[in-house]
Amino acid sequence: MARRTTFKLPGFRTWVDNIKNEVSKEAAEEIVRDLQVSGPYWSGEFADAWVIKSGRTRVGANRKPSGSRRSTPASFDPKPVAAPAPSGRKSVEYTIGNEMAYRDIAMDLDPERVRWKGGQPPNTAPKDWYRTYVEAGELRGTLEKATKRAAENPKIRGFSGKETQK
Amino acid sequence: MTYQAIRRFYEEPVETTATALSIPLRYANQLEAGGDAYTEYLTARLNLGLTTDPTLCGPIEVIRGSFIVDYYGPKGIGSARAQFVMQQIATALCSQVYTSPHNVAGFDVKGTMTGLNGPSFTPLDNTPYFFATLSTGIVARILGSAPTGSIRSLHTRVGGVLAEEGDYAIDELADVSAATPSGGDVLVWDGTNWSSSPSIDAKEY
Repeated sequence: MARRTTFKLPGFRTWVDNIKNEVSKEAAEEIVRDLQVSGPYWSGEFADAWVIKSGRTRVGANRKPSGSRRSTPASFDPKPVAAPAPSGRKSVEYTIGNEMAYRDIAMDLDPERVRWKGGQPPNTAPKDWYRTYVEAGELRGTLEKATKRAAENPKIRGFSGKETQK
Repeated sequence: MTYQAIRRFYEEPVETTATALSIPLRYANQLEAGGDAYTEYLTARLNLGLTTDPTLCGPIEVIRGSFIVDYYGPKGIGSARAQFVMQQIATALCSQVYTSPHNVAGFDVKGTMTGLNGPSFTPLDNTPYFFATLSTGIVARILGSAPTGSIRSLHTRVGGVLAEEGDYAIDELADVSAATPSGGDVLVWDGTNWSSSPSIDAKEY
């Protein structure tokens, strides 16, 4: 069986076969960089709340917002997120998630509480940015670049809606 | 408007299904004039993504996006209605991409899906709806503009149609009347049309 690297994202999972450990790690970090760039950014706390964990696990929505109010967005400077380095020759699994309590709203996964409403502050990411990132080719492109070859169409599966733990 | 044609390509099956099930398809749940909100409705939206795919032969223009269909239905009756509606939507979408290319809004669109994600279901807490959603990545290309006022399709071929062997039987020509020829018949000009006639050898002189 091919050695597989699986990336579990909120509501989706994707995998690539037969890549080295260091490429797996870099791909996970690239995905999080994409999410930080594509996602909303106002104070920066949401972008800084992405984590990469080893294995297929859950990411708790435990971080409360700081409560600070800004009238303008902060300069874009998200913290890089390092993935745990895999070792050995077994298949690799990464779980990527965001720890903010309001993550479903920020990712437009909560059908009731939407970011898009009139007034201030303005939205800094387009509607459905997360699902568009996963489904409209950017995630696939990132995996292809990270693996530095035309990947055999990285498989993307599943969508289970809200991921917030209650 | 090529993007609109692609959007129409994916929305058409949703629209058709909504009509068949008597469910309004709308961008947002609006109140009817003098009325109340609908008890159930569908929304559909297409978010565009990348527009070129790198290949060894250079970049190919394709339109990638995320097509999302949401269903809001009445709470208290379980998820069966939502499951039925989403299953109909999924079937209609798959049928649409299976038989392509399509002539849509004057453009020949060829599209597919990267795989349905969902549907997922949840009763909403703050509104009286049961919510379901499914989405799919889409990949589509515009093959060309359909010529206006001329042939758009022939024998299931669409787009820039060219004649091919087998397109017509001889009887389908304008001045030929040979619907039921018998073996050995020949075509004879009767002053107006070519028509089938017994072979010369069989005719009596």
